[in-house]
Amino acid sequence: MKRTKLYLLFFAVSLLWGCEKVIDVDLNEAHPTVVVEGNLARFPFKAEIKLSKTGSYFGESEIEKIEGADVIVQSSLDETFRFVETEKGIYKSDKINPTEGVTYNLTVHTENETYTASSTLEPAVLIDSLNYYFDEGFAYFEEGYIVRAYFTDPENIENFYRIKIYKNDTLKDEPDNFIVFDDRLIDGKHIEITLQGITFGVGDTVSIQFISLDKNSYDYFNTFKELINVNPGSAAPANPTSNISNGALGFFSAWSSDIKTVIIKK
Amino acid sequence: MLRLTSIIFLTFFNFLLASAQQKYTISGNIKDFATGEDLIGATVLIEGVTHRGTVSNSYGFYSISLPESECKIRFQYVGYEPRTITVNLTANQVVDIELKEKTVELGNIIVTGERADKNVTSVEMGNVKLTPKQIESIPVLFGEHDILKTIQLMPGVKSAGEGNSGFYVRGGGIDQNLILLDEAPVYNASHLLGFFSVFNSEAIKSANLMKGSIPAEFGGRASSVFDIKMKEGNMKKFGVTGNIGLISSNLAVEGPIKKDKGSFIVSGRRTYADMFLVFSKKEDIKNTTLYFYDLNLKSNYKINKNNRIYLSGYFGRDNFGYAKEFGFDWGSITGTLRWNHSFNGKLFSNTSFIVSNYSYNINIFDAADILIRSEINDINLKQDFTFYANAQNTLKFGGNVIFHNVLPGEITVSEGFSLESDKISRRRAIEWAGYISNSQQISEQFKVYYGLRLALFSNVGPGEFYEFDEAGKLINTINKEHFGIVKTQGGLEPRIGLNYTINRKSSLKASYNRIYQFLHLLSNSTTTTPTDLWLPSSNNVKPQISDQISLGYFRNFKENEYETSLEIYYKDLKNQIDYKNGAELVYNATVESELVFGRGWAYGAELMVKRNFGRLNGWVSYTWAKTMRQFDLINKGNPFPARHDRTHDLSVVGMFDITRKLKLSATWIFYTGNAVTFPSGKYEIEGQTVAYYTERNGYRMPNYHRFDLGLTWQRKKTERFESSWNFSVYNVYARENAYFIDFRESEENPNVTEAVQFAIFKVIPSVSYKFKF
Repeated sequence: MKRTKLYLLFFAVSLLWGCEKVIDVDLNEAHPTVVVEGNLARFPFKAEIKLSKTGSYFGESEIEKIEGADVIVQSSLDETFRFVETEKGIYKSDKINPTEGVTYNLTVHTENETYTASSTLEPAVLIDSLNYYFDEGFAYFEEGYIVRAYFTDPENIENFYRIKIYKNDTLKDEPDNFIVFDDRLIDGKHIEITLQGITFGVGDTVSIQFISLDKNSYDYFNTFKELINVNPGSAAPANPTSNISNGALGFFSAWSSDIKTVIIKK
Repeated sequence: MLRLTSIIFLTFFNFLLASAQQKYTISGNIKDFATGEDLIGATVLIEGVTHRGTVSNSYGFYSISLPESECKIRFQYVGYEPRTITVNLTANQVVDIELKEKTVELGNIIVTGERADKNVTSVEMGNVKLTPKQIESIPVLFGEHDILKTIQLMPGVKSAGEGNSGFYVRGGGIDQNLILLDEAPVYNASHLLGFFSVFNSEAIKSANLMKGSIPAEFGGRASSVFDIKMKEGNMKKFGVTGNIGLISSNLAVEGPIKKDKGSFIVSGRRTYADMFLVFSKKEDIKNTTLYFYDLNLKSNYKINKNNRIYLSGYFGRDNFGYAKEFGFDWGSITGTLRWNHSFNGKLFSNTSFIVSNYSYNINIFDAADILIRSEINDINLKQDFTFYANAQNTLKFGGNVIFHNVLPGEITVSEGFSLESDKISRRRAIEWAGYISNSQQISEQFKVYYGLRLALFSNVGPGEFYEFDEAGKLINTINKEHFGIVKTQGGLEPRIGLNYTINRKSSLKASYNRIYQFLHLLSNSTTTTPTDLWLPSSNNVKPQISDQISLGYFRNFKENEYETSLEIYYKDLKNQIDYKNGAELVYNATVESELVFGRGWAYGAELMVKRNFGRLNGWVSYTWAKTMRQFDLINKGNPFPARHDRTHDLSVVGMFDITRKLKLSATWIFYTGNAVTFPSGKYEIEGQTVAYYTERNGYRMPNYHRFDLGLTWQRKKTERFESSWNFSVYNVYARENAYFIDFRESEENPNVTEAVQFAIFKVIPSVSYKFKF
């Protein structure tokens, strides 16, 4: 995060001379492609597959949802769950009971095409504690309270994490606050994470959701983070690495998480 | 390969037989009369004999062997009065020559320091030479004359972007240019995010870019060699030169250590760009420091007529900081110690000991002091011999050993803080090379150059080496002991050049080169940044290999007043490097697993028309080119244009003498926009609207064009004091050239996405004052 801001500072320097203008760019119309957003979570419970299509880049119309698809999830315990369309393009199941260590296979059938994906529900890693401190800020870093989370990485197994930050029950979804990482450099250690990018004030309720992902979904979110953080001056952007077959975009991820909350006091 | 080697042996015999006849050697140094500086590339001609001649080497040394006779030898160098001497050859002789600079008359500006018809008669092709005079006369951004920006005005050389000193040569990447400063490789040639190069033009004597035929004594980068030589300093008298500009100033002091024996030059430059920041309304920007400095040093001493030593060094650093809380500095250090030795006038030897270092430091003074550091270090020992066998053959042979030591990253944290200090294992390697080549005049019309270089690269311990499975997962870490060799790669590099001189005015040339490149620059942005990492080839990374063939037709008109050339080339690049989606290039020990490998190819045609003399002189250069890349794991395996694939690239450079004291210069540049990746659709996921990409580099940035003007006003010119003013206007007609295009939500209507073009420089005027005493 500091790095991004550093580059911002460089850009600020060139901004002294720079100028912007809106221009016309003629973009090709890509053939509409299926987008899958699949979440299967143990805690808090979630079993939801959203299906939609890509649209014209400059188009103002709403994104097209996929209705009437067959959505089936099969577990490695040989259970089969048929997901039901509860809203336009949103398919849910209340029978499924996401379980640690189980692999789930998704099959979506729509418009004579079949898309499949697979994800394993990894055991949750718990947050040991949260605390916070006051930071005076400098340059582009605002002053305010910064939250720290502590956890212990399980030894000798690969772990993939995602952190979601809620300020007064609202998810902070700015690209800067999209946090995913793996344990390559921290395996088996007791870790302190300083959530540098975001500051809080006295009285704010801060919830930290600590999500354990499998490798496939980590690869997706890691490349997704890159896409939403792409600097206009950086090298060629690319679509995130999807775990869905047959050229569909998006992801299917089974996960578990731990949530801890703290209220900032003086 | 076998066949080529046998050809070389055959020709060896050839000249050995030829030299059996009794001959004597004349050798010596060619120098400037006023300053004692060596003249590089001056010609030595035997009068009355066509095609008997030689050219002084990069130390001003020449040597020629002739049968016993009385002969007239003519020494000439463009811009200097020629001198002819008569020699009665009865024994080997040393003849040092000093040439006087011509008084420059109106309408007689000399653009090159070459023999007038050298472009036609030499075997070299795809070569561009620059002299300080050329660099000085071209209008520039912020009044900073810059050799790397001047070279971008030549055919086949493309700028890395607006105001950028990075360049691409014939479809190769920025890291495929070997930039040498007095033989030392410069790993990062840019200051201030690429807007300036590290080469202070006041300290530069000459520069030669080789993009076509690359001689066998050079190697290590796949696309070009840019050989830059520093000034040696005045051998006759002390002098001071200075240049005061809007954003930087420089000062050089030079003089003899002992008259006609040794000299020195010290030249420094410092920018004060950060003073502009004071005008900013933002408090944060006001507290920012942002500057760079350069220091060039050189001295040489002639021990006796056969021995001479040179010592040169460069130190340069960029500094960026915010108050006392954040600091970021980066820069290069190079040093070269050279010893020239002439054995009997026929065999010339140069031994060099070279060091080169590039490093960056990031300091964060927060709750704890954190230092992040990375560096590349080279120690290089080089031995070159030139054997002036006879008037038809000049042999070069030698070798070098470079010890590379790369620290990919190190984090040091002050005690009592929860973060731990960490370090990525150093990567060490030895690069070995040996070469032999010969330039041979086969007949009056036919000249050939053939050479062979053996280039090898060994990864050595101590250090950690990694093995990965196909998915890029680390499966084994090898800890190697001191000098334990992990992997050796490389091979033979043939270098061939042919020149068929049709007549004194025109010639046909052809060349072929193979070059291995063992160090690769990892950069994930469109321009070079200080944190880009040099990665050595290893058990996981194969060396890049380039094969290039080129053909050219050279023709001069009106007694060499006009030079024209047409060159075509095809270049094949193997083991090119790109990155996996989401690759983390900074501070990653196993970065090798994040790379993908593919190939590239480039072809094009380059046209150049140049007027060397006259009141209006200059050149027009045009390049038509295609540059492609193909990676199995990118763009579904389909070939795609490289970012710098620019179909058309045109530069027009004109210099006009209004009066004896007032000179106007102008440049106009046009090129096709870079290939870029734009979205072809959008979709919603994770509560965000994201772009959908269908192909890599499938779109184009808008065409780039720009017109610059410069005016040099000579104020005083006496023996004791000279001064001049230089006025430049960059981008005269305020073209808003797109630096990048960003897609974002419209501020008025969040449902609408719009394309926003960002341009950096509109009209930038500048002024500088130069003095010399």
